[in-house]
Amino acid sequence: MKLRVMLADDHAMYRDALSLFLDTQADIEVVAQAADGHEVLERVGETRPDVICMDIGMRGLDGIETTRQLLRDRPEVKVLALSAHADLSRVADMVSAGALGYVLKGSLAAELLAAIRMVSRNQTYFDPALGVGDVAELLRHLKRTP
Amino acid sequence: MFAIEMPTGRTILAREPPLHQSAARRTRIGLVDDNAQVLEALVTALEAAGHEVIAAMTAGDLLERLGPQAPDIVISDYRLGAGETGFTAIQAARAKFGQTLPALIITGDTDPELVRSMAKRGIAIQYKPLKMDTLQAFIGKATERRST
Repeated sequence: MKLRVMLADDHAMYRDALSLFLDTQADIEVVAQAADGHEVLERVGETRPDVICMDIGMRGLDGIETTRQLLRDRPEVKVLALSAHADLSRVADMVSAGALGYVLKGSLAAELLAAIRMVSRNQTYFDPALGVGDVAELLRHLKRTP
Repeated sequence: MFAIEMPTGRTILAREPPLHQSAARRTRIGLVDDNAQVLEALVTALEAAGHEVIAAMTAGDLLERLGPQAPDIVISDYRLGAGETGFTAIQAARAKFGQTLPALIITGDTDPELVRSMAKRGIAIQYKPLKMDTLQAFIGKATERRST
């Protein structure tokens, strides 16, 4: 059975390009796209994604608040954060909202597929460019940073 | 397993064989988009589909990266930054490699004037949202026509 993926990003062309890429994978199916957090919350019931690739910086309801609200009602959905920023405090915000993984937009080819597959199995995944391997390491790193 | 060479020079290992690779021959694509994230995602998609992609954010950058070797096709977003359009990039590539170079503009703009103007110049238009099957079909058709 294919992994059902929803893409949430306020840049339509970016969603399209990502969808093109995921279409080339035999085990992944993009079942929905959403332009903002409200659309994610509206469409998740009807499209039943296993994994949502969630941009953090969406206008309106951002990725952090969307993740929080989404997982309150649908804890079975796995959220993978996508961001252009490697700021660890944003990573921590997403993790605390319930995201299982975090991938930088600059390393899609190398990281995105592995991340989607890992979080679909309820495992965490952090882009190696972030320099943290798991949540404990992320917390230790944040404690050291004033 | 197979290796993909990214424009940045790094080599990554793909985790799954690309679905479309066997269906289309390896095509050299000149790709232009002024948004770095979109460009990266498009490069990733087209390379995963088995193509060689020369990516650039401007027309000048594209010519420089292509070097002396012509692409099989140029694909460009219509609205580029700094007063450029996809048409600028295609014209620049055609001036260097020949007026029959296949070209495709990606746009969400359905203005009939734009459609007429591109059709007159032999430039195809692909509307958003993009689908890999239709994009692959167009790439295949355009490059076949050129090689026959």
